Amino acid sequence: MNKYGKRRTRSSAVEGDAKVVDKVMTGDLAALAADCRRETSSFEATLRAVGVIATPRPAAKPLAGSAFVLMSLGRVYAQNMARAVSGVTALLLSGAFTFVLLIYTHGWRRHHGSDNLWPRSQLDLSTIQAALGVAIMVVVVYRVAFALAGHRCERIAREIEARGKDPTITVMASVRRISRWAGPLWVAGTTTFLVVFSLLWLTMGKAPLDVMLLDDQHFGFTGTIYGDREPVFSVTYFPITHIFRDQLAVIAIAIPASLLAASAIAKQRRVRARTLAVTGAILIAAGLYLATRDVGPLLTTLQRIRLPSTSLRVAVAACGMFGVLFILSAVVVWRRRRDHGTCGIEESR
Amino acid sequence: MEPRPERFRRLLEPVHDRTLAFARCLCKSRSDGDDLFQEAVLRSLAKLDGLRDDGAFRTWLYRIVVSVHRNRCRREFWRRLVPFGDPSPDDTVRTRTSGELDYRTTDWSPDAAAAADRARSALAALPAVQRESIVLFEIEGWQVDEIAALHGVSASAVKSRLARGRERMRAHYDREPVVGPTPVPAPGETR
Repeated sequence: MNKYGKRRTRSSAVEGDAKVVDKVMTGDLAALAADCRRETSSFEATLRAVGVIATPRPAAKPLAGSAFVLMSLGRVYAQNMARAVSGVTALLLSGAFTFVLLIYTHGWRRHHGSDNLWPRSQLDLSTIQAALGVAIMVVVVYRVAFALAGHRCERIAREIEARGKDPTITVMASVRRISRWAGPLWVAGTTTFLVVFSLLWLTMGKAPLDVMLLDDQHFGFTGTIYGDREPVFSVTYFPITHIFRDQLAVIAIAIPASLLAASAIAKQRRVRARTLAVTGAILIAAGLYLATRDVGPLLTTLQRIRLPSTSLRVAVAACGMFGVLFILSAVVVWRRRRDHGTCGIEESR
Repeated sequence: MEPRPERFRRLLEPVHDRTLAFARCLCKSRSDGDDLFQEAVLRSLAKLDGLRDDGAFRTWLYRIVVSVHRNRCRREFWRRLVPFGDPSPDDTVRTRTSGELDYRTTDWSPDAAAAADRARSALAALPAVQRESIVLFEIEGWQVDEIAALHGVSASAVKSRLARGRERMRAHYDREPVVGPTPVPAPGETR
C-alpha cells in the first residue's frame, strides 16, 4: 500500500526505481523548503512595502544593485509601469503614423492630380502578405515600445540607487499610482493603434471585410465597388477632409471605449459582466442595423458590400469592433467573478 | 475598534515568514515568489475588512496567495509573448558569481542549491493546482482535508491531484536524471 492508501500494481523492478526517485524527490523538496525559508525579508520591510508603516526606517541592508531595487519595488509593478509606458508610446506612434500617412496622401493628390492614390501595382494592402506585414509591424512596434519602457524602468531604478537614500515609500506610492492605470493604458494604446491602422486600411478602399468576404470583387480608392462584371457603386470624389473627420470621430469613440473595457478587465471599475455583454450586443446590433438599413437583408449586404458611403462603413466597422471588444471583456470579467467572486477566494469569509 | 493597519500587523506577523516561503515554493524563482507574496499581501490588506474571523487569517491569506498565483499562471501566455524581467541564464550566472545578487550564503552548499533547483524545475512542470497541492502537502505539512477546504474541492480530488502531481514529478526526474549527490532532509523540514 502506498501513502495514499492505494495498492501498488507495478512490477517490483519498476517499484524499486520509483522508490529511488521518490527518495531523491523527497530530498530535493526538503532542499527547496530550506532554500525558500532562508533569508526571508523582514516583517517591517513587508509592512513598509505595502504602506502599512508610514515613516521610513533605516534599511536593514544596503541596496546591492539596481536589480535589487527593482525586486524590492516588486517586478510586478515595474512590469506594469513598462506596460503603461508602452501603451502611451503605442498611442503616440499611432498618432504620428496617421499624421504622416495623411500628409503623404495629401501630397500625392496635389502633385499627381489623381484620385487613385494607391494603385494596385504600387501598394496592395488586400493581400495576405500585406496583412502579415501589418501584423509584424504591430508586434514590432509593441515590442520596441515595451523594450524602451523596460529600459526606462531600469534607469529609474539605477537613479534611485545612486541617490543612496531609502526611497521605497515614495517610489512605491508613485509606481502604484502609475500601475493602477497600466492595464487600461496598455490595452487602450494597442487597441487604438490597431483601430487607426484598420481605419486607414478601410478608407484606402481595402477593407479587411472585403478581403474576407469577396474573392473576385475589389475596391479602388475612388470608391468604386465592382460587381461580377460591372461597377455597382461609385464615388467619384473622395475628399481628404472626409477621411480625416471619420478617423477622428472613430478614434474619439475608440479611446474611451477601450479604456472602459480595459479598466473593467484590470478591475479598476466594478463593471458587471452583464453590463459589458449588453453593451457589446447593442453595439453589434447597431452595426448590423446600420449595415442593413439601406440595402436590405443582411445576407445581401454581406454578399455585395453595398454600403453607400465610407462613413457608414466606418460606423459599421467601429460598432462591430467595439461590440466584439465588449463581449470579450464581458467574458473576462465573468471568468474572474466565477473564479474569485462567488466561488469565494477572498470574499467568502 | 482596532485600526486596520494595527490589526493587519498583528495578524500577519506570526505567518509572515511561512507564507513568504510558501509563495517562493510555488514560483519558478525566489524573486517571482517575493513578487507573488507582495502582491498577495497588498490584496489581503485591501480586503481585510471582509475577514470576519481573525482565527482564519492564515487560511485566508493562503487562499489569496493561491488566487494570485493562478492569476499569474494565466498571464504566463502573455509573458511568453512579451518576455520581460525574466533573467537569462547568463545573467543568473553573472549575478551569482559576482556576488551582486547572491542569495547563496556560506552555509548553503552547491549540492543543496542544485537539489532545490531540481525540485523547482520539477514543480514548474506541474499544472498550478497540482503544484499547490504538492507544496502544501509535502512542504507546508498540511493535511488533505485542510487542502481540500482551501481549494474548495473534495478530499479525494486533493488525493488525486497529489498522486498525479507526484507521478508527473517522477516522470520529470526520469527524463532528467540526477547527477550529483542528494542532500538528506533535516528532520522536521518536510513530512
